[in-house]
Amino acid sequence: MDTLVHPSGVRITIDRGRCVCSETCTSMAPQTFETDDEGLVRLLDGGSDPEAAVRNAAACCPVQAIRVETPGAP
Amino acid sequence: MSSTSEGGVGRQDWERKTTSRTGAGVVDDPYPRFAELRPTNGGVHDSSFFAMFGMGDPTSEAWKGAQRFATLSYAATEHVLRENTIFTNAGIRRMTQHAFGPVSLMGSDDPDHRKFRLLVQPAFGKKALGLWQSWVKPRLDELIDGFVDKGRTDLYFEYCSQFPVFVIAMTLGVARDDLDWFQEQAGLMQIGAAPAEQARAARLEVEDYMRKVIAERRRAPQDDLISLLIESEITEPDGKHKITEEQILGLVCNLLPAGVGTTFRSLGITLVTLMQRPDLLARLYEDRSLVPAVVEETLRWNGPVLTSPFRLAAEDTEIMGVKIPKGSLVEPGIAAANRDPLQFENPDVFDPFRPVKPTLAFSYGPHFCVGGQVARLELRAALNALLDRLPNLRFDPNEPEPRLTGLLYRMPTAVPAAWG
Repeated sequence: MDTLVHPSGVRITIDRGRCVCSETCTSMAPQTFETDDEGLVRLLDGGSDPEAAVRNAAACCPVQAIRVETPGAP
Repeated sequence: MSSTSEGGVGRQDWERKTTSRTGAGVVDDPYPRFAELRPTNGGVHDSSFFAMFGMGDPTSEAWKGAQRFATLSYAATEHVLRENTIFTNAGIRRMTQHAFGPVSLMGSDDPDHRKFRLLVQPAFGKKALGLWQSWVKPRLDELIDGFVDKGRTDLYFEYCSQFPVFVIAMTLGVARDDLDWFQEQAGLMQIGAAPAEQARAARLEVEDYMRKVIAERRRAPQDDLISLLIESEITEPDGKHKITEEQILGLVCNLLPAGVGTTFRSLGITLVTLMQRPDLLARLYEDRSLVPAVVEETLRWNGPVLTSPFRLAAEDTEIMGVKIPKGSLVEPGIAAANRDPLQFENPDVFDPFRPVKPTLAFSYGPHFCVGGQVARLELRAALNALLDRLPNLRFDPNEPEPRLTGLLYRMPTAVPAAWG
């Protein structure tokens, strides 16, 4: 699953093709992201991390592999 | 103290010999100089790090006469590491060929680098971490068994330096009897640690050794990293591709110097830092949930590596408004960036309780340290194992108090410890 709608309504998209397994997102928003056997990021379906934590994880990703979009925004 | 063989060269001598070329014993604290220079030109400095401290640069042999820059601010460093198609790893390729061989992760650029990386990344993913873990803990206990009753020892050489190489060697299928030899070769293959011919000779010996191991594992796979790597493949539009033997050797020759020196030096720095702060150490004994934060803060505050290896400017470009001509070499100064006051409040203070924020300790961008998760696992496990078995850890009052030293590689002079 490469896309997830967070409880706050924002859409989270990951690009496994860029992931370098830095563990940045998994440490900042552990309910939303995990790394798998391949050493690549995967989205968890639940996600009680605050929206701010998810946005922060996206901003800090060393390879910009996470996108967070607000529905309806241009 | 200990020498690995009668009349031979002990591991302390190897460590000192290979790090003296890179500033150990010459530069103890580079950070005040960084603080002084960082506010100028957005933290883009127009010389190499070695030149900044009046030293010759042992990494510049392959690129004589190239214009040099070094970044000191977080923003400039992040920019260089992110814009990897402008600041390429081609400079590293030429600089490290003798030590890492013709095919290396660090010496390649995307898209080849990405393909290579996908082949090896599973060896550092969740499943493989269990395998790494299975080598780490028994080794730590075995080492502690060897000195726990003495009540005092130099933990740097008797503990810190004795497990990362062991773990890598075991995962690569190296025989126990060959460990000291293996560590010696790994030391020579570190960037800047030995003259090119010596590094090349070390690499060729390791390659010969590993070719035999790979052939054995092809016949009879075992539960180790090398067997896992042999099976590694990626799917591309034209079908599945298995990893090549040259790629495996390239990875091994890159992994060895990267993993052998960094983790143990970092653990040594962590121990000295904690023993200098008895109150914090006491708190850590009581609350082990602080261990990961202590490890991360040590990596930020005094990481084992000063800079990512230099990037080559593939075109005329700019960093923070500073013109960088095509063909320049730029050192992304990760250690200086991790002390940038614009990124970290009171950056010179060691504070494991500061707000969680990523650092550049494992670099940034497509070449982010592939072994970062293993390094974290090792550092946490090694610290916990000591806290489990050595109560009241403190500096040995009979030995001189150690200090941190080194430029390209940072380390403690020793970790003389007493306990009980």
